[in-house]
Amino acid sequence: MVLLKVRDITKRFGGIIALNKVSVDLIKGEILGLIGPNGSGKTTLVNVISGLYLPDSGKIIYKNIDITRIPAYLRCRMGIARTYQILRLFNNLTVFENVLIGVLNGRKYGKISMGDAESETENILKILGLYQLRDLQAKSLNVHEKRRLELARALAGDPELLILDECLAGLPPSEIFRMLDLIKKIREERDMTIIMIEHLMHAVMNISNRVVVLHEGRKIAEGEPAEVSKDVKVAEVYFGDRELALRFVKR
Amino acid sequence: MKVNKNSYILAGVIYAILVVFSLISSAYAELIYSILFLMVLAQSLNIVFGFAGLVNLGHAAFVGIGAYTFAILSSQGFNPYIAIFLGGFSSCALAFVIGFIVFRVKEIFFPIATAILVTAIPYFIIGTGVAGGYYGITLYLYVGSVYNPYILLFILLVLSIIITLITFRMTVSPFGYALKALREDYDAAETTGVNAFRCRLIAFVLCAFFPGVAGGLMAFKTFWVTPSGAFNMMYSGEAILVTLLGGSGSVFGPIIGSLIYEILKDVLMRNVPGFQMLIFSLLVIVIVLFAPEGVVGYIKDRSKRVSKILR
Amino acid sequence: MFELIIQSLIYGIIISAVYGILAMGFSLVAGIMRILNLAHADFLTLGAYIAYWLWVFLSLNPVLSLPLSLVFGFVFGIVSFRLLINKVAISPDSALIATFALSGAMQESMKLAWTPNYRGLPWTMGSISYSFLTLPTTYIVTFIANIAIILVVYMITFKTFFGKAFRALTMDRSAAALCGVNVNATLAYGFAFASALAFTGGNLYVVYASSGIHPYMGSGLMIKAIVIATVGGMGNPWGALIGGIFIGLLEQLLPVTVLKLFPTVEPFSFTPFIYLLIFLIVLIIRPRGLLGGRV
Repeated sequence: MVLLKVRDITKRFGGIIALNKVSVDLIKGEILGLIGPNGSGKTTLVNVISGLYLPDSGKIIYKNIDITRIPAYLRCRMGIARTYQILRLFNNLTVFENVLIGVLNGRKYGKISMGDAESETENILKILGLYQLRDLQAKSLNVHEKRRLELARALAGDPELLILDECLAGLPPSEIFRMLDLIKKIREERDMTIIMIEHLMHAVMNISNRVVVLHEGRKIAEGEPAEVSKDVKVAEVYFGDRELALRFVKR
Repeated sequence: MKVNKNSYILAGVIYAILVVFSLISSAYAELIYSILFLMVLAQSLNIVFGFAGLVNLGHAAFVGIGAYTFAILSSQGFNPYIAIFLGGFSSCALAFVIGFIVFRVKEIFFPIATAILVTAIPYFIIGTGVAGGYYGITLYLYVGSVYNPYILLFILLVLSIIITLITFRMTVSPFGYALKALREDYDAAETTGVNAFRCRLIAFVLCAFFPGVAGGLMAFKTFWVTPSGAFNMMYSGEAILVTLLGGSGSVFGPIIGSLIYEILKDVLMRNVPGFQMLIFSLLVIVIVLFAPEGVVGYIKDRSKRVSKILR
Repeated sequence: MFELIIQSLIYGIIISAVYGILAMGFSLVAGIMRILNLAHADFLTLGAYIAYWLWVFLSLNPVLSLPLSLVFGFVFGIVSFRLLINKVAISPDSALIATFALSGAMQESMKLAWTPNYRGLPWTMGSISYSFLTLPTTYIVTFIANIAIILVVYMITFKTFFGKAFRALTMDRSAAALCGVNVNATLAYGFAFASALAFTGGNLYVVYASSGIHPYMGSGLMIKAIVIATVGGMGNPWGALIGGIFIGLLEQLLPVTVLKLFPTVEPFSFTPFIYLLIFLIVLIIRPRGLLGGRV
């Protein structure tokens, strides 16, 4: 079942075309890796899907509903959650409050009591190993704790579609494995569909079911990680040199 | 999550002290009146400024609208005590209209929109000559007979207690959390499901009621409204100063700030009249540069136990 | 009636040049620093007072004192940037409150220093008449100086490196840094430049202020500057010029046309209320302003 259909999305900023008729289908339950060089439009696409930007043309269809013009907060309540590349936590609020806000305003908005919301918050904090830190202010956490908090807040709303924007950036290798395991576990336990923007090739190739490659606002490749890693066009875009790309692919 | 019981106790103690002092003499009652008046303005401002993080320079406009609503209604024969509260509602109406227009656009426009309100509305009155125009309306004839300073004081006290209770509740309610999230990071709040427009609008309309009523009280007490007197930027300025001084975002901030300020003002007025405004402007700058968290912030940094009470 | 309209039109154009300069500086800072300097019009007031005192003590007429106002303005801008603006620039809310307080501090200081009395500057050069129009010669001279200043601003913004750096900063700060723009220095110079413009505007304003200048005149002018900047596009100095023309003309024409239909309305007191309506209407139908804002 196709959970999300992105159709011919175009987004311009002044003279720059950040997204040029990008189309992707997202299958329920899969982990889709979204890769491409810096500036290729990955975060812009995520911003359009989550509702921070309105596209200039094209459509986004989520669970057969056209959400292209629906405001961001409604998309969250419909089940789309995201994390940010540059952490955007509620810094002066506590870890507990950060996640609580996610629970209160997610899919259960208006339907959950404060007491239940607090229990749910505790659960999520425990799953992500943040329970002991719950009364600390978000700004006093270290980088990996913050990344986990960002993830916790996104999960708090019980989303069906989770978009992770470089959630591994800045993490040491041990933490990366931990996060990847966490993501796999979440996907299994909650039947989550995930879009993952990542620069760490081994991570994204390892965990994704399929991969989409963007370059200069266009989709240049799509498919299973193994195929895409052998695609000359993709290699060329990363190496910047066709010779090198060809040699890399033939090895 | 519940509000710390000790917070209620502390608030109760402060209010009790204020009541006791006001009964000592009429001079003290005047001082307490000024303190409570400013407290009501600052506490209501705190809802939008401290919790939601919006710089509202237009509190004075709500005071003015409240004052004029009171003046117009009571000069037409309405019971003054009812007119006071209707002043609150007309302020809410203004807040709704302005908020509806301004919250749809970039955040940068909100402070200047509120500032323009304060300076522009009086020109409507002066220009068209309605409600007494430039010279205003004198109210002694209409309200003098039912005037009782202690009733006004009591109304202020009740208002302040109501705001205190509301803001206590907000520190643990979904609405309060939503506002705080918006303050911390607008976009992240939106993608976490917070309806920014609606929350801000509600907060803004809510916070307008109290200065509206206070404006009515001010008109009642002085028996007079004029455009420049009712729409005086001082109301906005003092409310902001006091909220910053005490600590924005905390329930006790405006309360503590008003206490310190009014006493300080009294001292300064006796000793260096004419300089207070300058000193207060400089004080705001100093606070913004060196102590943006105010007195409450300072205390919170030093004692965890106390910070639980001060919320 | 017709004569009155033409006269008002001319006067409106003349005064819009000053408003334009005032709003340009304000919009410039809004564009490059993303903060609204609510004390901007008080910078103008200070410039006006400087022109006044130069006249009183050195008999310099308001056109000759322009270079001095410019320099004073620039220096004042650098100093206030270093002491205050730079420190609060990180948080737009703190910056706003700080400039709001700065406005109060400046107004009060000027009141204490120079009394709240209105002070006029009696500079005349006779007047020029053409058929039914009469215009004080001083207005014409000042207007020409005003236009000259605007042209200089144009040259600086488009022909010099600093000007280009300002414009780059408005569009994308990190990209500008990558292109070799010393961001901190440029912001300081940008703010100082805007301050110089404000002081210069005050210097020019002195000529037109028939009832004189006073310490609190910044409040009314700030509203005008804000509305002009919004109409033209917040952050776009050229929009500010267009907005200045719009408001300048409106201010002069409204009392002699539309408001004549309402005899009970006192036109010069009512017009400032119109600014609020214009502001709200712009926010409803085109918040980006006429030329497109850059904030």
